[in-house]
Amino acid sequence: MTLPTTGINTIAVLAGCALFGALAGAVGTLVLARRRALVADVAGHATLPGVALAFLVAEALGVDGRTPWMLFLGGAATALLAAALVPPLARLRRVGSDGATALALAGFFGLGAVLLSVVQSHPSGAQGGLRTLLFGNAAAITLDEVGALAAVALASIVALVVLFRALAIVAFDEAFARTAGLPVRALDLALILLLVATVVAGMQVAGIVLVVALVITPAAASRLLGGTLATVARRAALIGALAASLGVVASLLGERIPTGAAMTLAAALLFLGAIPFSRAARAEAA
Amino acid sequence: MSATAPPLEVVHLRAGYVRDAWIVEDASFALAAGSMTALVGPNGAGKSTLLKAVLGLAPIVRAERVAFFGGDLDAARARVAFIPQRSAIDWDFPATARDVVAMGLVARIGLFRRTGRDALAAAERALDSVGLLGMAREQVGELSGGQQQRVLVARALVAEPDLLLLDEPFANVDAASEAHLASVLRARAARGSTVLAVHHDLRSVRAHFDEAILLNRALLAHGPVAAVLTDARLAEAYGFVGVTSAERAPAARAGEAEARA
Repeated sequence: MTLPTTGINTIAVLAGCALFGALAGAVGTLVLARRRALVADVAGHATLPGVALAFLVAEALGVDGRTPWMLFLGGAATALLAAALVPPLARLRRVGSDGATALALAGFFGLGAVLLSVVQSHPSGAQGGLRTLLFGNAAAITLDEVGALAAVALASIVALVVLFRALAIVAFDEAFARTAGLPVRALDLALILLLVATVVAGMQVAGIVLVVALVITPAAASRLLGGTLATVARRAALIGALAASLGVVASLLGERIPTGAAMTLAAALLFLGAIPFSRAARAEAA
Repeated sequence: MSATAPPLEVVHLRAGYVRDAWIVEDASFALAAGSMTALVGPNGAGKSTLLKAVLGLAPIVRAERVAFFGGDLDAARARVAFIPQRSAIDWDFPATARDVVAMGLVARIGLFRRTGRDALAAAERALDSVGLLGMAREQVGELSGGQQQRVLVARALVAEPDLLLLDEPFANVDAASEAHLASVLRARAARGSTVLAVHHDLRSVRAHFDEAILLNRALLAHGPVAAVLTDARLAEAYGFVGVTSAERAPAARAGEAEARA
């Protein structure tokens, strides 16, 4: 068993993960409504090179390479860069938006994998355990990291609540939003920033490969159950928090289960459980 | 901005989606306050593109002048409402009819404030005016096409606009919804609002509108419906004679397919 040393630590890790799951579910609701699910995948994978670079820069500066804020900023920077590259790539002839998305995702992840092997060969990198960032490991997270995760998640949730209405109007009808004078570009950027904040907040527990599942699956499950966008977002936050908590518990109890994988499976099971209750299923049965 | 400035004035507008391939090649017109104008023309004539271009929604727009009430659009946004094509919207979006109509108040409520009771009451009044009060709490995805169109019109009306720009409001709408929408727009015009609508069905132009703009890449005519929709002009625009043959309107000419992004 690789449980954290004290019970208080375990509770802190659980609370942090639940907060991340709630943020992921709520942000995911708007990401799905705005049809940006694949951007979430790009952002997740594209944190890897930034995180590895941040580690190397920090070590070169004589700072502990696993300083949470350094890793957050590094991961966010490359995630944003990758997300920003998708539209211009998509405008190239014969690439298209799906091709551009795959290109950005694979390119940044490939670069990240190369940099990660450099980190592993670094004297302090081997113990640094950056490799757990791929699939997440709640057991290896420090209290400092939980604190940073919680701070990012709380700030993001506040921003999301403030921007929710405007983001919803843009997601429903962009042309109307633009004629009504809403700053559509700024709101789209805000949504991407929230998405990137979610991804970096969750990368240590959910892992950068699977963090997209926590963004999309709870939101998709919640949408199955109907209601208005605000209802869907609140319910998605609950489902996300539940999936993240279940995943943490499963990974702490089961030996060597990556936390991100356990969270993803929990979210997928909750999604499957929601299907019989979906409005469409009810309508068909009637 | 002068009191007598037309609600919308357009001078030598060109618009398109790709550089140097204009969909709208030249359009100049001014709408009179309180007028109801149909924007008609064959498929690919650039009707929707023209409407989007005046609102700054088309990718490439060049114009000598586009003025709303004598000023630019930013100064007049509160007075202008755009009702996009119903097909441009994902109706699976989780929202009730009342939620969608309340979105129309965003300029008044402010970007960062929640929808309050007043806004919801105003949304219900707007829904009532289009005959959908009973549907206020229904999910928009469960409404018929005509009802969805009426919700979009209610979202525009809730802000009490002085200029309504509609893209195909009567397309794929049941007869009851069409009659209802027409009477709602007529009532707004009677109170001084100006209506400009892209319209597809030549047979119903006379019933719903006073004026018409005939467009086929360039603006061919603008005036009272009877003066614009003459056999000669329709032959020029559509390549056939007489309103009765509207159904046989030739498909868009090669390369002219109208982008409906």
